[in-house]
Amino acid sequence: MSVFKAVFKSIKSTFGNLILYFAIFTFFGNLSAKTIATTNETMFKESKVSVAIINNDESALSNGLVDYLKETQKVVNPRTDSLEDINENTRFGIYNYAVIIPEDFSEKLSNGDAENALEYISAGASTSEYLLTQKIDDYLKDVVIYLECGYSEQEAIDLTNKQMIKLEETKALVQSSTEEDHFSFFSGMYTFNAYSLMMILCTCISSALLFMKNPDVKNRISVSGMSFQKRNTAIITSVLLLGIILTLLCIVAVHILGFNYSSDKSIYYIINTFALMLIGIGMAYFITSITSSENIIAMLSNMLTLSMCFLCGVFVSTDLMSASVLKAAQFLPLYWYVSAVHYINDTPLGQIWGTTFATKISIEILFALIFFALGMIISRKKEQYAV
Amino acid sequence: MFVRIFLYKIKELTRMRSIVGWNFLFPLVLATAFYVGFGNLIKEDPDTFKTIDVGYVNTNSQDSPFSELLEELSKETDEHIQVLNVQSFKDEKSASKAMDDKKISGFYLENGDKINTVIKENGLASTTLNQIVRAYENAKFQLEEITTNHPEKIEQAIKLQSKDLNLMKEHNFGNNTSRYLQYFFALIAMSSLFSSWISTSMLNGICANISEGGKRFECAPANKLVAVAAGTLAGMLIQSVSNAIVVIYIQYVLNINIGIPLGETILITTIGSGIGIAAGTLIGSLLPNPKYHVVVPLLFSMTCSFFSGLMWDQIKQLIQYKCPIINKINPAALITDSLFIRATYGRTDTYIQNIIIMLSMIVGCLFISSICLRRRKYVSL
Repeated sequence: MSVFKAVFKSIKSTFGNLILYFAIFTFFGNLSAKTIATTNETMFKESKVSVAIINNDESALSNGLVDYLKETQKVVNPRTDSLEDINENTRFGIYNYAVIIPEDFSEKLSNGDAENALEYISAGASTSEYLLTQKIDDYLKDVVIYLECGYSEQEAIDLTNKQMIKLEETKALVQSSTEEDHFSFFSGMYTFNAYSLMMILCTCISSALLFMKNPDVKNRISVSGMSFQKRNTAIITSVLLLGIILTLLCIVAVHILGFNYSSDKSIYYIINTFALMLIGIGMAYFITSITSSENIIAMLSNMLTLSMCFLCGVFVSTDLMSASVLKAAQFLPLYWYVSAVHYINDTPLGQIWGTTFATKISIEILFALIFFALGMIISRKKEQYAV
Repeated sequence: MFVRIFLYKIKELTRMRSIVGWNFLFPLVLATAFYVGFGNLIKEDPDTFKTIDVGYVNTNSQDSPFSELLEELSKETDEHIQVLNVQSFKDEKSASKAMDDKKISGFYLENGDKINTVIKENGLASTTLNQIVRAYENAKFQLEEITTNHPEKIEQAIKLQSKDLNLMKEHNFGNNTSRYLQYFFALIAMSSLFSSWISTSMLNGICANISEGGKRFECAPANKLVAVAAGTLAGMLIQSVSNAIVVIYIQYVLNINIGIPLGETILITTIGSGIGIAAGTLIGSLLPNPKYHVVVPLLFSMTCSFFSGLMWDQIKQLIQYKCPIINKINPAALITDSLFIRATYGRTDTYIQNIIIMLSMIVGCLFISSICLRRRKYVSL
């Protein structure tokens, strides 16, 4: 019991780190998961582009355009007049598009000199840029044609708006929808969990193991009446329990944050997370066997975890990575964790439990065992050569 | 004496394994991971418009104006955009099969006057396909309206409809820096802030209440200001060299064009290193317990780097949108922003403002540290 207690007391110094990683997970993991989550829909839902508008004209024509965009798109406040800031907001996806209506906008349209009457800012030639440019272009073209054909300004605006609203009835038919077509909130959260849980485990478990490696502590335990077997069992059990508590903490956080979402596949995500826990403990053991310096442990944990997160699809989607990188990533444990999360997401509930899922989990456990084995070999060699 | 302490500090710091690992090795490993993970996205933006593969089923016996429109959209525009890649199918069933096999994103089904867009999932591509039908129907409605109320203008309307009026233009900013380059800028910022534990390590050796070396240093008849200045400059030099190595590695080994002249990049990162050194000195002077001299600078560097976009490129801009003041007090965000602005717009007012804030931070931190460190008296050691 005393060894058990000592292990838990030893992680007190890591509370700061623990709170930081946990805060990052609950706040930014949640935000990121909500951003990328999509739902499985059987009805056509038009994608709305978020657009910021700077209206320097305030005429009937410019207000008509603004009203049209408000009705059909997601209009947001640009919160700045600086074009550079607006450009960065579109580039980093705060909004997708910005429309700048110049002062002479209505004058140009009414005089028939409509070329380049409107300016826009977008994040390059993307699909959302093409879509909204087409929509605004169609709207303006309608107005210009009506004006050229003898309609008054108000008639042109009213007719165009009426037409555009009528066209909203033209909707595509969604023929079928599979599990693969959506990415759930839980998948997003559990993907981000790879970073947070690994860092939390590496920090806390390394700290506990390091404490047990401290010569003073080691000697005090050695001279106590506790048998070698009992002592090691206590260390292993306490480290495992610590891992389980930290993992459960993350799992509970995911489910509290996602109480609005259906969680019928939770059990599989939890199994996968516990497999990740073994990898985290294994990696912490491996790192602690290399060095006894807290500083170097922190460095190696960051280096290994961050690198794996970028290569295995935690921070950047695997869809964007090249095939060769993905092939190489198969030699990293987080690849299999992320791959299992994607598999759970894409597979119907009744079909998840099977060879594919078991293989992914087994590979994760295998990686954990490799880390343990490497750690043991290094510790043994260090003892042998008294390093 | 200055030169001697300066050289000894360089020797001492470069012999610390943790400093070599964190300040030299870690940024290089992370830069390599970034490059391998998404280096290709800097050159080929994944958000670039991709031609939509679409099927077309015409159950009518003859070609319609809609098929002509599809043909038009299958041609490459002046901006080198091919909107659609149309494949014709005999019937709905074969088109559905092609859609299920992911060969096409959706298909148009023309039956009589009616055109239906059939898709597999919602999204921007599906909305674009639907928008094409809407634009086609809109043109029909408009001609009907003009024929009813202004029949004399119908020819002019048809002419205008078929003409590209170029009503909109994109604002040109010159350089368009890839959003994925932000990760590398944040990495450089992180590397700069890693100098914070160079100064905490340096303080360990000069504070009598921290180490044996500190006791010897404090009772030595040497000018403390000169000694501290020499140590600080030695730390800054080491960090600047480390930053220069990272920048050269990114630019010339990984072959990622940062878009800023090398000298200026090194200048910005050197100012960043100065902030790291100054912040580390402040941390070291405020927290006398050496236990915190690694953890606190590490937390400081990683937290600032996270909020500057090291792990999530959107975060800095999100803060800029919601609460820009945070970016003005986060040194990593200031370094990242300075690099991004310089690469995209050149030396703007915001760039100059960022540099001034960074320099003020250095002066502020060193001033507070000097107040904390000067004329210390120890009751017992």
